[in-house]
Formats: sequence, structure tokens, C-alpha cells
Amino acid sequence: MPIKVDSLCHTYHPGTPLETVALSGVNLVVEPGTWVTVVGQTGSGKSTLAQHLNALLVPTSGSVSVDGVLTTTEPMKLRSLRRKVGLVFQYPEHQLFAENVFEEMAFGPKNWKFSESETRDAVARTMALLGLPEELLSRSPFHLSGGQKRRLCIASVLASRPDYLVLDEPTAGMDATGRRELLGTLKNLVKEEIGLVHITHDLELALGMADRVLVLEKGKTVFWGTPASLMDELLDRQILGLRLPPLLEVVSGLREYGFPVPFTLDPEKLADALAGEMAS
Amino acid sequence: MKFLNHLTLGQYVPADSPVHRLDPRCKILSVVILLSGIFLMKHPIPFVAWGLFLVVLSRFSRIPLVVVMRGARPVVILVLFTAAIHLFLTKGNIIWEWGWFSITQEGLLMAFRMGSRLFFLVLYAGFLTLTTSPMELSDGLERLFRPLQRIGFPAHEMAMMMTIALRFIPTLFDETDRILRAQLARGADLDQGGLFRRIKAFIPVLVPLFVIVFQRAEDLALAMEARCYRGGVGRSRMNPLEWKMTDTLAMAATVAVVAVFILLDTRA
Repeated sequence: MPIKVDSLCHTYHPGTPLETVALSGVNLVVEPGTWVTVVGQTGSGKSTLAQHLNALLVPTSGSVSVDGVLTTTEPMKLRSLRRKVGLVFQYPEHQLFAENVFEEMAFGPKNWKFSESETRDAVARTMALLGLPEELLSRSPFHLSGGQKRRLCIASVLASRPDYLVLDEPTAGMDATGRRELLGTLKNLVKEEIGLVHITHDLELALGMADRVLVLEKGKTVFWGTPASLMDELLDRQILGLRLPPLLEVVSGLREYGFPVPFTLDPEKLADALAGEMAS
Repeated sequence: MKFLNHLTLGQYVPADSPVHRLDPRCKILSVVILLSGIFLMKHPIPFVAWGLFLVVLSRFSRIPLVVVMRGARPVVILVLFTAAIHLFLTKGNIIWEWGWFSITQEGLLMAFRMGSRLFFLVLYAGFLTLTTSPMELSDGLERLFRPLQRIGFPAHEMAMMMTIALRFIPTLFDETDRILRAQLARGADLDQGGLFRRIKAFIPVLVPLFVIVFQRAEDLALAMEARCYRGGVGRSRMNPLEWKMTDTLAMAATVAVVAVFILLDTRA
């Protein structure tokens, strides 16, 4: 059963002078074991959408359901819904508070009433999954490196064993190596049947990793489909001033000159295709 | 879920009115005079005049009377409580009695006097913050306290601290809101159980908040130093305060009004 977002609208401060429409008529489906990327610029409603998936916000109109349970359900069911959908906020290191890494990780599981041994199992498993060495468990979370803190925050959400994981700009402020490692880790999570929602403003990230892409502009859907079809569309029309990644600019230029090279974000593949063309 | 977003802080209501344009020093001093005047009132009738003057002031400052009255909401209970204490505990001519309770003529008068005083104090003091932006207010206070610097009173530092504190209140509310949501998403249970459990439940919110506050303070100190902030000595301002003719007139009017009210009170 997937997360289903059906013509979701959200208005902040309705009926006041501060009234702003953050989302209008957004549809989205997240199946377990798939990677969905939501792309949009600042103020496009990405973060609002993220909070809807976890029932931190409820729809002004439309609906959001997780495995068939609406986010407008009664509070008792809401708790189990929140456990199913792990939400990692932007700059999550601001939520660290515990004395040591173990306590930080165990916060979620304890809140969801995991038993002592279940908690310990979940923590150990998640640490391994995110490549955090076990000797960190007794260290203070405040003394970790930036990249480790970010991993710890994601791990602390994953420790509650959610079925879906929503990440708001998980790679913001990370260096290239850290980013690549983190995305690799996330890809592994998707292989473990977690449904991943990745929120970003970076188109290249979206095209590279996702199974499905949702492009938002001012709270409205401007594109929903596979990365390949997004690439096609981007060649035809401008979508919110998104620029093609440099490599795709090259591909598109080559095709204009009559080289039928494939659309790809992999430089090696492009080089191979080009070499083949030149040889023939 | 509403969290903290219904809280509006800083009750400044921007408008283009003669009162808004007055020098903050003039407004601070006027309020001090008005409040002193209210404290001198003894009889019920002048309070009616104070009420009428409130309407006049709200017209002059283009702030709806409803908004002005809203300022008294937090003290309604205090006003009623004060009035009740005076009503029941003042000794004198008994006009009504029931068991332990007795109401005296003096008590009735005292209750009205104390209640009205408190009520009008809050409303008139409210005008200052309604018509003066926090920045102007701290500028004005700094200038007024400057003579005291000679005896070691840190006027500039006080004003700067006030400005910074006011500037960061909304920011901290945003941060608190974000941390709250983040911990809720991790299953934190913030509104269940007894008092002790609830306080304990807030630790995951308070610790990150403290970390952020200290971080911000450090960043701000660094940013100020990078811009060569060296305290108030020799510092010039972008919008220097200027005492105009209208300020003198407003002061004179305030003094005149309060004088008339005092006269009214002694005659009553």
C-alpha cells in the first residue's frame, strides 16, 4: 500500500491578511521500494508537502493517506501513521539533544514503545545501515563531524523502522564526497523496500537517482513522471527556469549536430556512445 | 495543529499618524506623565474623562479602539482580582452584608479606584508600544538615559541589548516551532501525562534550542566585531532623533490635559 496524495491544497493562516496558498491540487503516489524526488525552488511548497506526508500538517482540502489511513484520522491512529512515515527535516542536526549517540537513536523507538531489546536491535541495525561505527554509540552527538551528525539524524529516524522516509534537502551544506556517500546509502534503503521521498532544489540529483520526479512551482505540479521523460520535456520547454545539467547540455548539443547519442547523466556512457558513433 | 504560529509578538501597529511621527523621547516622557497622572486620581468622575481622552488619542494615532482595548486583555483577571480584594476587605460604612462577606461604601469606592487605575495604566502604557517601533523605542530610551552615563549607567549597552533581544524573539519562535515539529515526527509525546512528565518531555525541545541560542549569540558577536562594533562611543546613526516643534506642542498638550484632570479630581 502506498502513500497517496490526492489533489492536496494547503493554505497558511486562512482568513487573515497573512493568508498564503502553499499547495494547490498536488497529486503524488509513493510506492514502497521506490525513490520519488520532489524538485522545486524556494517557496514552491516542497517543505509543506513533506509535513503533510507525516500528518504534521493536515490538508485544507484534498487528502493524504498512508497505507489507506487518512492523515485526518483520530489522534490514536495518527501516532502509528507517524511511525510509518519517518520525516527528516532540513538541517536536522538542530534536533540533537541526547547525552550520547545511543540515547539519540533510541529516542524514536522508545517513543513508539519498542521493548528494550527491540530498541537495541534497531539501533545496531541502523548504525550499520548508515555506516556509522559502533564506537560512536557512547560519544556525545554534539562532538561528531558535520557529515556524521547528518547521518545520525537520519539514523535516529530510521531506527523506528519506518516504511517510508521523507528527507527535506538531506544533502544541504554537505561536500561532494559526503553527498555521494549519503545518496548511495539512501539508494540501499530503497532496495530494502523503503519508499523514499527526497526533497531538493537540485535537478541533477533528481534526474540521477529517482524513479519518479515531481516538479513543483508555486504550489502547483508542473511535472510528474520518470526522470527520462523529464529530460525529454526539458529539451522542449523551460520548466521553472530549471537548467539542464551540463552533461545533458552537451548531449542536446551533440544531437543537434546529428549525433544520436542517448540522454544520460553518466559521462562514461556518453563517451562510449560517442566513440561508437565516431568509429562507424 | 496550530503549534506556535498564532502567537504575534511586538504589538507595534504601523500607521501614518501624528502620534506615530512624534519623537520617541516625547512619547516616552508623555506616557510617564500620563501614568503619573492616573496614579494621582482619587475620585470616580475624572476616570470618565480619562476614558474619553483614550478615545481621542486612538483617533489621533489612527489605531482602532478595539486594538487599544485588546492590550488590556492580559490584565483583566488582575484588575478584577484587585477590585474584588478592595471591595471585600475595606472597612467602613457597611451597605450590604451576607455571612462573612460585607461590602462597605469605602470598599466600593476603593475597588473602583484601584481597578480603574490599573486598567487605564495598562491602556495608556500600551499606546507607547502601539505607536512606536521597538527600534525607535530603544533609541529613545538610550537618549533619555544618556545623561546617566556620566555616573556609569550603561545606556547604550542597555539599548543595544534590548534591540537584539526584540530582534530575536520571532526568530526563536520559528526555531522552537521547527524543533517541536522535528521531535513530534520522531514520536515525541508532548501533551500527555502529568506535569512532571510533560516537563521531561520538553527536554528534547529545550536542549537543541539552547544549543541554537548560544550558536546564534556567538555568530552575532562575531558579525558585530567583523563590522568594527566598539560600543556606543563615537557611533553615528542612520536616522538621528530630531526634536521638532510638534514634539514640544505634544508635550505641552499632555501636561495641560493631565493638569486639567488633576484639577477635575481635586474639585470632585
